[in-house]
Amino acid sequence: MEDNASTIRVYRSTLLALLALTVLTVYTGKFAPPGLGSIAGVIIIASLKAGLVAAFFMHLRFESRLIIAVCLYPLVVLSLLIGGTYLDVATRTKEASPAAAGEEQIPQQRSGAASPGPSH
Amino acid sequence: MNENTANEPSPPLNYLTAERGIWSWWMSTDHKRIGLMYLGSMIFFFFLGGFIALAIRSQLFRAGSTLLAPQSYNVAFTIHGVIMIFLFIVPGVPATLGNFLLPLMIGAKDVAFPRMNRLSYWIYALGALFAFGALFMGVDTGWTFYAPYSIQNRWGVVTMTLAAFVLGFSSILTGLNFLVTIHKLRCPGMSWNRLPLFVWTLYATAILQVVATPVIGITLLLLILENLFGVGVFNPAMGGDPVLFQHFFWFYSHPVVYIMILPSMGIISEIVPVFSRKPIFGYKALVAASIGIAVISVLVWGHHMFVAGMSDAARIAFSLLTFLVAVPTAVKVFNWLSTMYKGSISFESPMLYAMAFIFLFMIAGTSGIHLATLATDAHYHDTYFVVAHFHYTIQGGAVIGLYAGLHFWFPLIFGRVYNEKLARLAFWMVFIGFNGTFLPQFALGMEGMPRRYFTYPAEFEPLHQVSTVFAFLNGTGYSLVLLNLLYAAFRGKRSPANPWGSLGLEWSTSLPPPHDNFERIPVVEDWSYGYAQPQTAVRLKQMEEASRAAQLHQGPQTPHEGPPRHMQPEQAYDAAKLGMWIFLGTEILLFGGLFCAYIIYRLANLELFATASRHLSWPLGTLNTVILLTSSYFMARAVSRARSGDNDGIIRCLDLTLLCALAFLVIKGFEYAAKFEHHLFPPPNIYFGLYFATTGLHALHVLCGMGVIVWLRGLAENERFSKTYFTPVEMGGLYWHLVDVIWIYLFPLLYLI
Repeated sequence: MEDNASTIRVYRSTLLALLALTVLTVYTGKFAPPGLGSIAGVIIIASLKAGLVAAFFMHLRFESRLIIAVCLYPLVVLSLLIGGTYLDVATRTKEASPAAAGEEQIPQQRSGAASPGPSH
Repeated sequence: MNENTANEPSPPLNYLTAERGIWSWWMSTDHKRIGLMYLGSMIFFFFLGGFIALAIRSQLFRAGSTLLAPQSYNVAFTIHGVIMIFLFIVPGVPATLGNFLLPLMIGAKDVAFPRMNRLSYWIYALGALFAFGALFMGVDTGWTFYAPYSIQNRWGVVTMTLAAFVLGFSSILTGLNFLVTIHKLRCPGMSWNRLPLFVWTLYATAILQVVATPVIGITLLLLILENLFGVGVFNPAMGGDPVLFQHFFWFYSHPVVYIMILPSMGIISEIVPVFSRKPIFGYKALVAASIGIAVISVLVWGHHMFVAGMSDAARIAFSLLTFLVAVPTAVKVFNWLSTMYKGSISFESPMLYAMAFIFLFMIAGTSGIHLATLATDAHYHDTYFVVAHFHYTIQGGAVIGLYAGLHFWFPLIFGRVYNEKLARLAFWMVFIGFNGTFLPQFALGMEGMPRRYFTYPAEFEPLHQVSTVFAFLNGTGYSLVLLNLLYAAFRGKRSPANPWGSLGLEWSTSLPPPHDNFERIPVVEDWSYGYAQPQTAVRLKQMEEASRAAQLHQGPQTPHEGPPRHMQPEQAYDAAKLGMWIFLGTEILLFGGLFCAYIIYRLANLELFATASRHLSWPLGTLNTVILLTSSYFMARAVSRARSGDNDGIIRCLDLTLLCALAFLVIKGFEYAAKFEHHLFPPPNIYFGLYFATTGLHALHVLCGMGVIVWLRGLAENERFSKTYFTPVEMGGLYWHLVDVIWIYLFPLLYLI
């Protein structure tokens, strides 16, 4: 991979694509109708951008299957962590759910003392 | 073992004698010396933790005893747990015997990254210092640091968790090093299906070390931030969820049980065929079981939390998944037993320990079934049944396995033999003492005696007294082992070549091995378990001759500094790249814990997060995104220039990258200043807690990246890079791009939605 014209062109195109996707992210997150759709939208766009950086700037498209597997394992592990934790949180009864009292007045939510802990 | 002196001359130089003085040990990059330094440190902590255990048992000898005050008792069991877990058994077999043996068993001259290996030990020493500091701060949370109790003892918990965090980093470096070593440094002929089973277990362990440790890293970091700044993530008073702490904690701390036990299982797989004089039964099944245990271990963490307030659905799912662990574990046990079946078994001390391992681990496993079952766990949870089960797993499994390995490879490590009769006596003291200590604790647990109480009703006293008496026998046994091995290490008779008649590659070099392990890189032609075969005697004779020849013909060796010379340049480049990608994976998982917390709280507080995110300036966030993306472009160009050997081009591109990084941090500084001005720090709610935790950690990574860039720039100024040597720039580039990728996710999640 020499630093020839074609390599520079690939890098520039990648940068332009990333900047364009950034504009699209801002539009989706800030100006599109709010809700879970926009949340999913910005995460998908972010994943596209991360994919571009990995494939072109980090040269993942030239790497062996071993490196690609090493690159993917954290995502699998993270899915397990999120999946297992969310399985618990999402199916807990309302009274036990975390942060059930999510107040909106920002600076007034602090409390000095935490509740007593379990006897561990 | 044949204890007759072989009357062979002392080797002119080996790894023990190549250099002298404490400084030469501290600065050594030799995997064998590093393994021994770990061993010495860990044995020290094992006895310190054991001494505290005896103090705990003494307190419990009589109901209502006042030997230890209640608070001192709480501190004592916390310190015992922290020392034994984080300073002794987590580094455990991989850091000691793993470090010493891995390169020898795969025919390599050292691990892939010798200096990183040394750094790993230094970090371990630093973590030990922090832990020592915390000993005097009265931490009484137990080694699990459960929130919210742990956010009430500020400096003690901060220091102790910082110690565990630092020790985790050491563990990651060891795991990373082992993975790359096994992938890239196997000698010719050492194919995957000839890899010794101990190496396979080190491989599975290393996977767990790099997969699970980053999650505990971020958990402990959040606990530290919770104590220092009140980020609220685990604090119910701020809407945080203490059960989330337990999820994160056990996501690491259950696999860590397998980090402790898997290598010991590997040791047993090495010892059983040697002393049964039979090929190992079911090699591939044992390999699959090791990998299977590693995979399943990251699916079952919830069984530690059945009574913590988890949902029914999660409890049932985790209970079912937990039973899966029994399958690969049973495969291992049956294969060891099948290996022994009709074998010519001899009962030297390593084999005694190996058989004890199988026996004790079976008790550990079967008692684990009671704890995996929802109904029985509700009764046994937090009782002495758990204490007994845990100690049967860790002491009966991991520690006994370590001792089996120490006795087996002792002649290789020190070139001397120990007193076998004394070793057997010590074994029986350990074995009887251990069972006498912990079998009564099963009974105590079943009768409802809770753990972690400094006193108890009088009806529990007889069983406690039995347990305490045998605990002292157990401790005396371990002391006898130590004395026997210490004496032998310095004054023992010289070991003959290959004293056990093992077919392991590590025995084909001199005892103790030379600095570079082998005169020349060996070529492997068969696996190392071919006992009782027609060619076995010939192979053993060849190995003994090779060992003697290595002992006699060693030339003077000077340990080398500088770039490792044990790899070809292309091999070194491949190793560095693989190592860097594994490291990046651990970084992703470090941030992954924060992303997980974000998702959990975001979904529980949609409105709060949407409202709070409006307090962030999205135009500034967008500007910073553009700046970081541009910096990645310049970094990619720098790597490209490095591949062309253009040092001036590298400097230009790195300067532009550095400029972008600086601009990013300046803008971030303005953002933070505005938040401080608006009293949004300390964080008023979880959103801002996560905002400061994630962006702060990211900014720290930007700073580290800038440090790397400055270092690379210095190398480029000295014309260090060429068309054939550009690895540091490429690795630095990969790190920088990861910093960019993380921001790509942080920006929309925090600023836009």
